[in-house]
Amino acid sequence: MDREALAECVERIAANADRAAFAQLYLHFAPRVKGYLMRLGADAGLAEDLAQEVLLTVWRKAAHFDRRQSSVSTWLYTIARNRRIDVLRRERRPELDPEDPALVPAAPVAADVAMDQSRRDASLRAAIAELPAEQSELLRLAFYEGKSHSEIAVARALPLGTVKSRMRLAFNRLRRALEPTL
Amino acid sequence: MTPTHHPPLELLLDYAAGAIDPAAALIVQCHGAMCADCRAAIATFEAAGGALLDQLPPAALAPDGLSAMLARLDREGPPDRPEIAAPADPVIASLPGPLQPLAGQTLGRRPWRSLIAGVRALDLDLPGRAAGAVQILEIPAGRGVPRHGHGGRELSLVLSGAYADAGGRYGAGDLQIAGPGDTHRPIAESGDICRVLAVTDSAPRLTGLLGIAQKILGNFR
Repeated sequence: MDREALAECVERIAANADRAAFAQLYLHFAPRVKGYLMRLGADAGLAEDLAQEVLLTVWRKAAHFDRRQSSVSTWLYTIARNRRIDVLRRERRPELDPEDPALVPAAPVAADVAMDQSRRDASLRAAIAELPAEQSELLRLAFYEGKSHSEIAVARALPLGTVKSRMRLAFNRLRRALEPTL
Repeated sequence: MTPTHHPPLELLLDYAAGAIDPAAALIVQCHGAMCADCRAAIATFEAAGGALLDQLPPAALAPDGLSAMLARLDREGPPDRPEIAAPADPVIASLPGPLQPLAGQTLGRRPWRSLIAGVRALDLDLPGRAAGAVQILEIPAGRGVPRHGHGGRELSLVLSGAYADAGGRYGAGDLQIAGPGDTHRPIAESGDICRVLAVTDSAPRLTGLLGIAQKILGNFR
């Protein structure tokens, strides 16, 4: 599904409690969220359960989604990421937090950020694909393995300063990719 | 006003990647709510997270996954309406958005705690905090918090007003990071009441005489 179709699904949930739209989102995202959480150390059962909770949050909070501010993938990623912060970094399993800060309506984005989202997405994906190998690996260790910058330094036996400078170089490329073209 | 003391970029990446504890995440979210530049930087990293999520090979779901999911929806009821009501408590309403739910829930359970000389604290129960403290400190204009050290790292985000210590001036949205061994004696500027979101790491507590001193001063960590 493309990004516009995904955004329409969320909007149909918000407007009409549309279960068919929800099922489409579930089939697209639940396997990816489950895979993401398993990479971060959850077993298959916990990951499936948490993926359901993330999708349930999408159902409940659909009205908070704003396609001018982010793609559905990014919105869903932040919900899953926040569940990870809450759950996977400790033993005890909390209840779903209905007050997840990711779901508090965000402050308005600056005009230069709220640009054509489809073009931004494509540009960002291209920038990620074109990152030098060491910067690309850094992002994968952070996002796919959940390592902090200091954990990355230890895992790769790199000086902290090297990790920080690679991170800044990667950030500058990503930021340029998201800049307006005009 | 634009904050002048920002979280380092690596802290924003750690947050975007979820490689951060809940209290530090709350601080980063609140700073982001008050700082357009850092908000944009976080959004940049999160967009990378969204793109990378899309590129993950899908995991196989349980065979009854969709029907279990839809059964959960049946128990759940319709989606929430976006709330528009502002918090009734004026202090809560003045806080950055990401902090309002937690502070509001906390205030429903316990009152502000008086420390000394007009300084008050609201201890926040952040789910998932193993140790350390998360609190909102309220320091009247011109008043100070006694000189104190830190067992671990302390993150202080100015929510309103301003304070100064030997290291500089911190106004609304500014983040001060103090490491183990740093001591400081913040004084609130004249003018607005100064509110600070303070988070201390779950570092081991000091023992012996220093530990006793820390128990007495523990409220200010």
